[in-house]
Amino acid sequence: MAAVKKEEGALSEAMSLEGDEWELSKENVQPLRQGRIMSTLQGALAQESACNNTLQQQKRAFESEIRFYTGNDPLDVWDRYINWTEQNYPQGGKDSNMSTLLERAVEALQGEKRYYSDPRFLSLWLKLGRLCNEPLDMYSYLHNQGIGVSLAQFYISWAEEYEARENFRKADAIFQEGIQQKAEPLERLQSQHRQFQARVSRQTLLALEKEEEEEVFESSVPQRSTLAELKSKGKKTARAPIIRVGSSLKALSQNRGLQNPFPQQMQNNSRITVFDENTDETSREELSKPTVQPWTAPPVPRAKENELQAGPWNTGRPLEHRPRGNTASLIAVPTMLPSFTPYVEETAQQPVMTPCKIEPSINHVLSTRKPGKEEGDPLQRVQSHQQASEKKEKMMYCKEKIYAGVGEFSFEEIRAEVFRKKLKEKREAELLTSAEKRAEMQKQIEEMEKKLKEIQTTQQERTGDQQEQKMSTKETAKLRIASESQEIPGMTLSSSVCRINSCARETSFSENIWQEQPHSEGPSIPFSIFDEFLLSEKKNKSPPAEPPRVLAQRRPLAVLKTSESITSNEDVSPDVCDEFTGIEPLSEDAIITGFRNVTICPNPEDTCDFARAAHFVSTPFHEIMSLKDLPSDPERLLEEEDLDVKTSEDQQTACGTLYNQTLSIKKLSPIIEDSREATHSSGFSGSSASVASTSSIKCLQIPEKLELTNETSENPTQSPWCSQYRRQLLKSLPELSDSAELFIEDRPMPKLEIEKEIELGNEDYCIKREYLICEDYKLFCVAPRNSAELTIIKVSFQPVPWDFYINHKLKERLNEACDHLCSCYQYQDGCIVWHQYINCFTLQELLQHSEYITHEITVLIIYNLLTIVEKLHKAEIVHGDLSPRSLILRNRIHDPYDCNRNNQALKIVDFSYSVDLRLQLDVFTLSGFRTVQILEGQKILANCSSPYQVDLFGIADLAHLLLFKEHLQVFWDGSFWKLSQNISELKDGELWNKFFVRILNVNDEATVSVLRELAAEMNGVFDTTFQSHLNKALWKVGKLTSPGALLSQ
Amino acid sequence: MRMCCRLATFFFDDFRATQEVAAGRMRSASAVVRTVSTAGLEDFGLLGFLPALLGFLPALLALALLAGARSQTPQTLLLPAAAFRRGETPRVKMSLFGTTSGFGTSGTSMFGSTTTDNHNPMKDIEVTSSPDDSIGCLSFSPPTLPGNFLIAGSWANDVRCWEVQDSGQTIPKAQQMHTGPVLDVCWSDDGSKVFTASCDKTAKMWDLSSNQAIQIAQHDAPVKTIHWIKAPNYSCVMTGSWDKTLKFWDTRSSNPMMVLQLPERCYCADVIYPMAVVATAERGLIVYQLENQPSEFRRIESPLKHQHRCVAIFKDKQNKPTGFALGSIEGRVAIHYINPPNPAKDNFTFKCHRSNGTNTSAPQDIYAVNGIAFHPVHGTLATVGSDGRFSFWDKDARTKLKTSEQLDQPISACCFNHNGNIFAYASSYDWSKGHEFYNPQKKNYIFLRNAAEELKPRNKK
Repeated sequence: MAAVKKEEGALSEAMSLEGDEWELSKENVQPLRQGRIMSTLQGALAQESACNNTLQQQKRAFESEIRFYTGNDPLDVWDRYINWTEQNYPQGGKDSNMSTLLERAVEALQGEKRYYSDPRFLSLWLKLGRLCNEPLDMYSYLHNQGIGVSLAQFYISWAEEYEARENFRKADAIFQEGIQQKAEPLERLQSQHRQFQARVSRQTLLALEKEEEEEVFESSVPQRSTLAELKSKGKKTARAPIIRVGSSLKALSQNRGLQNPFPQQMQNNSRITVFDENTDETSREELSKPTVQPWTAPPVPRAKENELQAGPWNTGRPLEHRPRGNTASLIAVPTMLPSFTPYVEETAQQPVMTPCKIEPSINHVLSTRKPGKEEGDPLQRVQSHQQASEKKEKMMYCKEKIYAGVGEFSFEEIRAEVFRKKLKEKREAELLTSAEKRAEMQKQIEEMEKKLKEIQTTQQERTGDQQEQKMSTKETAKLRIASESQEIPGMTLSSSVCRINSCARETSFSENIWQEQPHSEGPSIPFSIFDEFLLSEKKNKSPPAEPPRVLAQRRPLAVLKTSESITSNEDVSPDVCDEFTGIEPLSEDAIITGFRNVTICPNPEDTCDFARAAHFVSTPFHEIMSLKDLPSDPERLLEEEDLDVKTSEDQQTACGTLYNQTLSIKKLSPIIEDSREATHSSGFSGSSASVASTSSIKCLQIPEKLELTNETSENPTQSPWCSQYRRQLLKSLPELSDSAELFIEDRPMPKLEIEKEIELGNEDYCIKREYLICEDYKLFCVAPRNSAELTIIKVSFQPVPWDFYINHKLKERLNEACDHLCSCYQYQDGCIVWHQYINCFTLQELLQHSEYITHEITVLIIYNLLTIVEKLHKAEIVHGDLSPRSLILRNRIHDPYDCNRNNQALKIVDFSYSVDLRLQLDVFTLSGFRTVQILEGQKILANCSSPYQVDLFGIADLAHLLLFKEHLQVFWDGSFWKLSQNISELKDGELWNKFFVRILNVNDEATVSVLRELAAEMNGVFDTTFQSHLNKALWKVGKLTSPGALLSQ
Repeated sequence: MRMCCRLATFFFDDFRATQEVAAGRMRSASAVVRTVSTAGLEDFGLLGFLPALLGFLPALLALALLAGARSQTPQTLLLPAAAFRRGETPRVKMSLFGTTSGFGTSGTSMFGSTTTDNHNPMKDIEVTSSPDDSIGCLSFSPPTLPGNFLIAGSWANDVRCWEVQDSGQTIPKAQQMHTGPVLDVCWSDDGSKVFTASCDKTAKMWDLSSNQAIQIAQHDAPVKTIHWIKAPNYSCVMTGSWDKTLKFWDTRSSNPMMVLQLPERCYCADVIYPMAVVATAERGLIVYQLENQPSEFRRIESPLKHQHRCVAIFKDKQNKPTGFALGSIEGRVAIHYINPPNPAKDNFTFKCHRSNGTNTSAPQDIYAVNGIAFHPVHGTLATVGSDGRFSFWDKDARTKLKTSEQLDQPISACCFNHNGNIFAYASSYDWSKGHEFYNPQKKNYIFLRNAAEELKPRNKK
C-alpha cells in the first residue's frame, strides 16, 4: 500500500514536470495494468533516441545475476528482471524480449513446487498468457498443475479471459470454483464476481433492448470490432481476429449469439472446413467443462502450422497448406520456365553495408517487420523446449547457464564473471582487514596522544620555549621520512623487487654490449627472444653482497637519524632528502609506475599482480626468500626503544606507526591516495605537536611532505624517461654536441660544497647555498668570483644533458632566438646546467609565502605558463612535470618598470620528465609523467589519451595551488570535470571558472589552440590598474626574496 | 607466501623437465647448446665463429645464438647444465619436426613410461612448465622467425613463451602478466611482438626482444579476440570485446584508429588479409573486408542454430581467403564460403565432438567445439572439443581423417605452426560444465603432435 502511494507520489511529481517524450510518444507505450512509473517511463522514452548504455548495463547485470544467483529465492531475480523490463521497454516488441524472458523464467522455475502458490510466480504466468495466442490453454494448464489455484488473481484473470470471449457462463463457473477453493484474498474474488455479474446482466438487458430496436436490420451479419486488426491469422483457416482489447469489445458486442469465441480446438484435419461461427457449438460445448486431461507439460497449442509433415506437394493439397517460408520451392515448381528473365537493377545486387550504418541500439519503431521471424506462440516454444529434453541428445555443457536469461553467455563470460567476483571478494576482504588494522592503529595513536599530552603539560610548566617546540615537530617530520624508507613486514617482497631493479640498472652497462650484439648479427635473425631465465641467472650472480648492505643501511637510518637530528638542528631537511635518494624509494608507487608493464590507468586496487609480475620478470626467486627471513621489522625496532626516556621519542613512535599504517592503506590504492595521505599525516603531526604548533610550521611541512610522496615515483628502467634510452637518443644527434653551449668534460663532476668554488667553462663560481633538492637534481645558488650577482645552476646526476636537449630543440623548432643564457656542462657522472638568472626564485618558495600571492600574481604566472606550454607543445614537446619546483620566477619581479614584458616572467628549469614526441614516438602510457602520478589528473586522464593533455592538467593544478593553496580536486558532474572548490568567491571568479572548465575538459582538441585561447583570455585582464596592482604585489615579493630577507628567515 | 608457492611450482616444473630430459634422449642436444654458449662466453671472438658452427647445427641455431649472446655466466640454461654434469657426450639428435617422417604417429612415447592415467593418451610431447590454470589460447610464431616459438595465454593471467625445437624439446623462454585472464594472443607478422588480449579489458604488446609489455588497447569489457592485420597501406591490431565493439589500434596511440559497432558481444574472430570474420553472441556473423581500411562486407545469417564458439578462415588454391569454418557450442561445424558458385551445395555443416552413434539407444552426448585450426599447407582442418578429443577433417572430401583418443580433460585450444608440422593442443578445463566441475588441482597440459602426415588430404595422389 505504501509502495503504491509512493509510486503515485512519484507519478504526480513526474507529471508536473511534463516531459515532452511522454506527450510525443504515447502511442509507443503499452498500457500496464498497474501503471508505469513516470520517471522510468520518461527515462526510457528519452533513451530511445540516445544511446541506451545504462539500459544495456542494467540488463547485463540482471543477466549475470540470474546466472550467479546463490540465494534461495531465484524467483525474486526473475521477478525484478521482468518488472524492470516492463517498465523500461514501454513500447514492448522484440527489443524487450519479454516473451523470451517470460519463457525462460517459466522454464527455469518449472519444477519449483514452492512457488506454485506464490503470487509472483502466478503473475509471471499471467504475463506470459497475455502474450499467448491462446491464453485459455494456459489457464487450464495452470489449473491442472495447481499453479496459483489458491490465489484469487488466478480466477479473476481466467474469468476475464472468458468474459473477453463472451463466454459468460464459463466465466461464472470459474468464479464459482475460485470461491469454492477459498482462493485468497476471497473478498476481492467475491467483489470481482459481483461486478462481473452486474456487467453481464446489464449487457444482456441492453442487448435485448437494442435487438428490439434494430430488428429492421439484418442482425445476423457478423460484426467486427472497429479498428480491429483485419489481417488474417493462420494459414489453414484464414480469419481475421475479432478480439482486440477485451474491455472495449465487451460493450461493442450486441448479441450473445453473434459472439465469436476462438475456436479452441483447431483440429489437425487436413481438409478445409469453412468455419461457421454460428454453428460451432460443439467446440464451445467442449470448453464448458473444466479440462481434466493429465497435463505434464504446457499444452501444445492446437493451431499449429508447423505440424504438417512434408510430402509430395502435388497431391491436390491447396497451396495454402504449405508451411510458410518455403516460397523458394514454390517458385521452382512450375514446369514451364518463363521465357524471359526479370530485369534486376545493377544496384540491387547484394547491398554492401557500410560500417557506420550499424547501430543496433536504436530502436526503429516503425521499421518493417521481418517476415518469418516472431513466429509461433511463446507457449508453443515453452512446449517445444520441454519436448526437446526428451530427445535423444544430451548436451554436455551447462546449457541452463549459457541460455539462462534472455541472452546467451559464453563459457568464458561465465568464467570471467566468477573470476571477477572472486577478485572483488578478495579486495573487499583486504579492505576489511586494512580497515581493522587502521582502527587498531588509531586506538594506539589515541593512547599515545593521551600520554603525550600528559607529558607535555608537565613539560610546559618547565619550559614555555617555542623554539624547542618547533624543533620537535621538525624531528617528527624527519622521522616520518625515515620510516618511509622502512616497510611493514608485508611489503618486504615488493620492496626487494625495486632494489633488484636497481641492481639490474647497475649491470646494464655491461649488458649493453650484449644487447647490441644480436642486432649486428646479420639479417638472419632480426632480434633474439628474451629469455627471462638467463636474466634471472645473471642477476643471481652479480649482486651477491647487495641485499644485506642495503638493509643494513636502511635499518639504522630510522634510529640513527633521530639522534642526529636531536643534536644538530640547523639545515635539516635537505640533508634528509639526500639520504633518501640514495636508497631508492620503496613505496609501491614505484612498482606500479616504474614497472615496465605499464598500463594507462593501472587498476589502483590491484597491485599484487604487478608485484608478482615484477618478480617473474626480474627476480632471482630464492633471493627473496632469504630476504624475507631477515628480521627487518623496523616497527619492532622502534618499539624496542625506551619509551619513557623522552617525550619526543614517544612522539616518534607514534608517527612511525602512523606512517606505516598509511603505507598499508596505500597498498590498496597506491596512487590516488597520495595527496590525501600527505595532508593526513601532516595534519596529525600538527596535532601531536599540539600545544603551540604554529601554522607556519605546518605550512612549511606540507610542501616538504609532498615532495617526499613524489619521491616514490620513478624507476628509470622505463622507456621514454629512461636515461639510457635518452642517451641513445642523444647519441643519434651529433649536431647537439657541436653546439656552443654544450661542454663535454671527460672527468667526474666536481664536488659541490657550499662556500667552495667550482669551475664552469672558464669561469669560477662560488657556491653560495643549496637552493632546492629533489631526487634527481639539485639547484644551487652560485655567484661568479668577482661579483655578488647570484645565478643558478642545476646539477643532475644523470650524465644526459636532457634539459639542454629540450632547450635546444625548442629553439630549433620554434625558430626563436632565446634570449636567456644557458649552458650545459656534461661530466662523466652528471650534468650541470647553468642558467643566468639573478636572484631566482622558484614558485615553490612563493607558495610558502602564500600571503604574498595576490590575484595579479596568479594571473601573471598562469598567463606565462600558458604561453610557455603552448610553445613547448608547438615544438611537440610535453613537459610532464609542471610543478612549483621546476618553475622559476625571473627578473621580472625585480623590474617593475618592465611592464610590457608580461610574458617572460616565468622560466622552466627542469625538463627531466619531458618527452620529445617527435622522436620518442613510442610514448604511450601517460602514467609515467610526473604530473599524472601525483595529480588528481589521474582520474581525468584515465580516459584521455593525448600526452599533451598532461601538461594542461599540470597547469590546472598549478593554478589551483596558487588560488587555493592546495592541489587540484575535481569531480565529474556527468558531462564535465569540475572543481570541488567553490570558485565564485574569488576575484575574477568568472574568469577562473571558465579557465578550469576549459582546461579540464579538452577532450580531443589540439592543446596548442586551447592554450592560445586561454592565454588570450588571460591577456584581457592586463590593464593599467592591473599593472599597478601587480607591481605592488611584485615589489612585496621582491622584498621577500631579496637575499637579506631569505637569510633572516 | 602464495606467490612463493607459485614460483616454486614454476621451478619445480623445470626441475621435473630436467629429470625428464636427463632420462630421455634429448640431453645430448642441449649439451651441445651449452658448450656453444660457454665457449662463446669465454671468448668474445668466438661469436664470429658461431655462424659456422650454427651452419653445422641448424637445429640449434636460435638457442645457441641466444645463449651465446646473452649469457654472462657459464650457468646459462638450467636444463643443459644438469645434463652436462653427468658427463654426457655431445651428440646431435635427429629432428622430430623438421622432417616429415615423425614420431608420435607410431605411438611410441617420447619419455618411455606411460602410466595408466590418460592425460596423454595420444602419447604426444608435453610442453614443459605449462600454465597453472586453463589455457585459453595458443599461437605459433610466424614463418619470419627462425625456429618455432609457442605462445599460450591462460586463466592464471599469464602469457608464456616457449621455444619448440625440432627435436620436440620445449624451452620456457619468458612470461608476461596481465591483471586478468588472457583470452587471446597473436603475433605480429615479423614475429618480433606478441599481442595479448585479456579479461582486464586491455590488450598489450609484448616486445619479445626486450621482454617489455605495454598496453595498446582499452575496452569497456574484457577483450576476447586480438588479431594483427598487415595490409599494404596500414598495419594494426584488431581487438574484439564483450563491450560490443571491434576496435583497430595502431600500436603507438591510445586512441583506436577505428571503432566498429557489433550487434552483440564478440565471441570469436579470425583474420587473414584481406578478410576478417567476427562471430558474436546471439549468433551474429559479420564478414569484414580489410583493403584500404576495414569495413563491413556482409552480415551472414548463421548456418548454426547454437552459440558460436570458434571461427577460422580458410584459403582457396590461390591462397586467398575464401570462406570460414564456424564451430558451435553444440558439436557442429559449418563450412561457409563467402561467394560460393553454388551456395546450397558448397556450404554445409557437419557434426563433431559427439559421443555414441545416433543408432544406439543411449542418448547422444554433445560437446562444444572449442577450437578450429586449418593446416597451413594441406588446407585440412583440426577441431578440438570439450569431449577431450581432437579430430582432423578434410572439408573438400568431406571426410574425417582422424579422431584422437579421449583425454581426461577438455581440449581448450589448438593451433598449427607455420609450416604445419606441429599441431599444438591444450588440455585444460574449458568451463563447459560450470564452476562446479572445475578442479584447480588438475594439471594443465599443452601437447605437441607431428601433424605433417596425418593431415594430408585423403585423395591426394
